[in-house]
Amino acid sequence: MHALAKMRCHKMAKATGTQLTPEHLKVLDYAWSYYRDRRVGPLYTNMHRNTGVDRDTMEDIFPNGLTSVYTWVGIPIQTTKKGCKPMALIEIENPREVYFDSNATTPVRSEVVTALTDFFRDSRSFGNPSSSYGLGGLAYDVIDRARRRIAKCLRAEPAEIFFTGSGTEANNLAIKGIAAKHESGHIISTNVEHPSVLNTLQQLESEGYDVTYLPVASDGTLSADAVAEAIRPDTILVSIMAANNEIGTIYPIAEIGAICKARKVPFHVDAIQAFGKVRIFPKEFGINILTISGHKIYAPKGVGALYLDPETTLDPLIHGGGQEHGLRSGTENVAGILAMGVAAKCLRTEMDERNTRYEYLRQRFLNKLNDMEPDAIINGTLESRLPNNLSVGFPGVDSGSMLLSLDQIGVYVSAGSACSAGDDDVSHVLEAIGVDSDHYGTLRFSFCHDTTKEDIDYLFEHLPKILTQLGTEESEARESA
Amino acid sequence: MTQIRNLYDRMITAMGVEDLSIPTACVKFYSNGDEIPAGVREYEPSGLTLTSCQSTRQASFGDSVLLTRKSIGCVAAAITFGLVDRNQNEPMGESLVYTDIMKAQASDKEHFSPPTPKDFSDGTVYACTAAGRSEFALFGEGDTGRYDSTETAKRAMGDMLAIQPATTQAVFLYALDFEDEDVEPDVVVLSVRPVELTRIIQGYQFHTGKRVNSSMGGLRVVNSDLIVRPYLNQDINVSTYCLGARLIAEFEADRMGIGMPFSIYNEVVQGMEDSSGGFPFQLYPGATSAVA
Repeated sequence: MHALAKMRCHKMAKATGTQLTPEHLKVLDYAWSYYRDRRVGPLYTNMHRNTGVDRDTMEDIFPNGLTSVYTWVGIPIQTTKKGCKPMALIEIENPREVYFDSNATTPVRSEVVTALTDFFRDSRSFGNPSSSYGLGGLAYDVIDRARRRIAKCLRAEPAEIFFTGSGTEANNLAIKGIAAKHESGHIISTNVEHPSVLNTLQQLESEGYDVTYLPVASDGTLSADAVAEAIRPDTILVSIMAANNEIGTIYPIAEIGAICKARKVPFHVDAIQAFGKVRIFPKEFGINILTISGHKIYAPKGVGALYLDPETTLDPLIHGGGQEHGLRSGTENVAGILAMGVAAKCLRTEMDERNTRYEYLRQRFLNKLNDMEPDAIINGTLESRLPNNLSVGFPGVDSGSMLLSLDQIGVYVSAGSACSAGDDDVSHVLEAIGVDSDHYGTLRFSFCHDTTKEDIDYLFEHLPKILTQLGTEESEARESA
Repeated sequence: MTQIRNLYDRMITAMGVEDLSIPTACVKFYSNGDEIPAGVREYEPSGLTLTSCQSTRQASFGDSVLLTRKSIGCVAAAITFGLVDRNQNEPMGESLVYTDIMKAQASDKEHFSPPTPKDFSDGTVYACTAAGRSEFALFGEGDTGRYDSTETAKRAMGDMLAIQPATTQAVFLYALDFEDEDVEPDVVVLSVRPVELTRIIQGYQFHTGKRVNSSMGGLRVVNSDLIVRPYLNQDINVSTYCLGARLIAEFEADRMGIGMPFSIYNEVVQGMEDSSGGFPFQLYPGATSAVA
């Protein structure tokens, strides 16, 4: 299959929550080749004869059977399906690119680009920070400066900051690093954690550890008392995120930290979403381990960090040259660390101003949403929430179709759940807070530092047409009203 | 081996060019009240609509399609096949091929209402420009429409044979090798190059001496000229492909269609076999150039 078609298939699979298997790929590849050669799509007989996949199986493995196959590989079709149309087609006179997905990743900010450019232009910047001669010292100083900058954001000591290759690695190190100190034990977490925490915990469960996943309330909130009640004599770790990546809910980290400190249970906080938007000071909050990521704060991908209080020890995941005081071996990503330090410094000074602006933008968004679609729902509380995040449930519309439709007009968002209207594969967070995913298709909108009110106006200029074209009952009612 | 496959193989053998391939589709009509075999019913596509020309092409590649009022993707073909009343004043459905093209070009998409079968029958769709119905245009502002006036359009449609009143429940377009059920086609449609058509006509005439009719139009060729005309007249018809067959089903530039009742196909094949010594097809220029 052509690379572009392949990319489209993967995109559609992701948008519809379909895990691509070799069977899917065989069908898609065959359909694509068949259409390329014959200019009409293959039907059930040829599909079965040439791929071994019969009609029933095809309708089982693709969200909308043959319609999905045609849509994914780009065979033009007319469909009678109303529930999960591929996408709306909107003609735009003055298109613009609008990035509403900064909870997924952020663009590299200009100050970071400048710092990186200077770094790479400096012919003496390439040294290995572990080398004992001058060039190594220069690289070591770059890391040291970044360490101090991040420590300052957290009101921590530089020696308490350890760099990793990503936020996911930092979370793995925090959780497995504690678990490895015990042969068995009990861990407390929630059912809305990021997969880098949940999947790590599931791995530990398979190794014999006992994990309690605390349920959150329907507005996404969690009470610190629930944590207190769950702690047992054999609890070896509490791991709870500072803010949720999908619905933005902020958790009572300071209260939970106080409880953990009093009960002498190590407390890990995944602060990857919250860092730079919420003030978190580990020492004051009773946090033993805190994890953050560079690419969520306008630095490049490939760098994360972990705060570790001096009283807590972790077993390393990676063994080697003993970098990062033996906690994370491997020659440091000096440029990435530099970038993360610069980004952290910028955020520390501008957090309040930026959060105020996010709140203004979010209110503008909510006002327009209410005017356009009063029946839309906001997932998660608005009271205690990251200021740049909104998770919106649109009634009777497929989130995958909306995502692709918005993509066509240059608006980039995340589907808060997979092909929500009628599909089974629903985000664990939305499931945890009881969103009716049969009725609501969810999109996550998350603003970044250069989001403007014009971006929001652009979205709401075109969103009504998209909803109408996607043919929801609600939009038809709106159209006829 | 199916009877129709056997006839097709005999035809190719009689033409004397090994591995020659002539795309062939079989057509069976089911009127209201007819029982549609379960093994045929399961070939109605789910979730998508197809035009008659797309389905004909797909059948010639080995697939089978049951088109009903729900699964047919072309209003004009639905009228021709007798799946819908030509004077129905309600649109057939939300998403059909030509109506989608119209909607994509309409200046007011949100208020676009798909044309009804009556809009087709009145000539306002085909003579959209003359009728002042620019929302039914297919090719933007410069679209002349398919006819210069609604009167011309109605006159043209009057000569396009259709099963009206609408008494058809379903039309099954299927492949030569379809053997899930014992189905005998009403019509056989072949997509031929002129050189192949020459030989087919020679075969038909060998025993009958009859001339072959060619009633051609520029629209509704597959469904009307090549399927319904042979079905209703019980005679062969030859036609070039139409707008939709060229643009939607993308029939190749060097091919045209010939439709005939199944009984006549028998005669044609027999005639081709019996006349093979008199018409050395393999020597005709270009005869072997389409071999797979």
